[in-house]
Amino acid sequence: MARRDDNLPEVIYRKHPPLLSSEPSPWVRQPARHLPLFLLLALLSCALIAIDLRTGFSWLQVAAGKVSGPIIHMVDLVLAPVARSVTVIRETLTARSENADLRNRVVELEARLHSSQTALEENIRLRQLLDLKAEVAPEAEAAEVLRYRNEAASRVMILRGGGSQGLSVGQPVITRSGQLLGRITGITDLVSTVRLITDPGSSIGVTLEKTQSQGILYSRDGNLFVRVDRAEEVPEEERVVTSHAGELFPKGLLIGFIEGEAGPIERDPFVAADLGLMKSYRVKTAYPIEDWERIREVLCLPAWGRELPAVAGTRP
Amino acid sequence: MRSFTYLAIGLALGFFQGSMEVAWSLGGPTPDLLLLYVLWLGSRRQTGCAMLVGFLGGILQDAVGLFRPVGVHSLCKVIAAYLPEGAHFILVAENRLTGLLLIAAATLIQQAVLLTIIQTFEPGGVWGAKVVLEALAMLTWHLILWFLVVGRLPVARELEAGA
Repeated sequence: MARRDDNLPEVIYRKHPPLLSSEPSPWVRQPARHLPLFLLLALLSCALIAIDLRTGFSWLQVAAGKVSGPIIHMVDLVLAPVARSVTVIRETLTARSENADLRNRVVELEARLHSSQTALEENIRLRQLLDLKAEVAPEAEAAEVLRYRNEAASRVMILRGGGSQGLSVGQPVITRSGQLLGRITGITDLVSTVRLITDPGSSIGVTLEKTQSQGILYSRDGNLFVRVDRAEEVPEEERVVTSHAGELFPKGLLIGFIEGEAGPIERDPFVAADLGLMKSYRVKTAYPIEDWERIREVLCLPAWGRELPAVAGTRP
Repeated sequence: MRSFTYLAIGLALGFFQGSMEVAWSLGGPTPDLLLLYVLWLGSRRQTGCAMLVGFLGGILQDAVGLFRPVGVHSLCKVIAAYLPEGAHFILVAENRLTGLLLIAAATLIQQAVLLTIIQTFEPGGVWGAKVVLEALAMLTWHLILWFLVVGRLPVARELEAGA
């Protein structure tokens, strides 16, 4: 308990219980006893500042520098290792932070690169499609493939785009390389169904380009065959295009090339008896059938009934 | 005799402080040991001695530390030395929390006086976020040192005797 031998107010002891000392300060009784010294030293300090600014104390600093050299060296010896350690720690922490940032940046750039590559590939595909569109028919519509269904009973392709995009039933569909794929057989506002030429029910009138022989293209187990008159001489690699006499497609659309004579089991299943008057040949498509599932965009030619130039098909 | 010892220690500390400011390579501001010593003296009711130590030690600090103008730290230390008495003058109690408050006040006042004088005689470029950060760093240094050294010192015998 504090010794109450002064006249301090009670509130000091109640509100501020002393921890270090419980004795009331004598300063309170003599509040200004050091004020003159304080003022004197403050004024002296100001005078020193003024003198230094006007005339300078370079001699004092030179003298002090000479004396303090060893001490500065000693302090430096103590502090330098600590400073180096601090620097190493700081640089390590900074490097870790930078490393994490760079890793994030690499991930971000990889994602951006992947996106750019995808966009570039898509750009190339679309450009080729646009070139073909300009070459074949400016009114042709490009469409994205939603799904490729390759089943024994039905081979179709579903396109993103339907009546609202101006597509209609009967439009021939080709690839960017000019390969005939089929024709639109079903349509809604938003999607279209393309019946492929490899569909088992598909049957198309074709022309062998050099010999001008007329034949029927049919599909068996997903492969294409052409049936022509037995008397026709059909060379290998003969181009097979749509016939001028066909009703489903414009003339001259590329289908593929003659690959060789078909075997007995590869004959047209819908022709019960050809009486030995017809001969079947295997047709190798310009765009391999096994790669059709990778087709991303197709071109829908204008509805059949208009005159179209022949498409110069190229191998993919 | 005791005052002479305090004075000698103070001068040595001023000299050491100046040397440390020259050799300081840890980055940021240098902790002001002389300021802490002056405050410690003041809190031990050696106000006159503390002011004298602050004045002379400050001159040494500026001279050895190549600080211009010489006398700025003297002025700051004299003000800091009078702070404990000023604190009692406005009826602040005497305990360890008071010590922390005095440390904070003295540090900020010293920085304010330093910057004001430097800005007055060498205008330009001393204000900004860097000044605030340096003041905070120095305050942190001083509080840590006070906790580690002064705050752990035993209660002065003459104070205990009076309790």
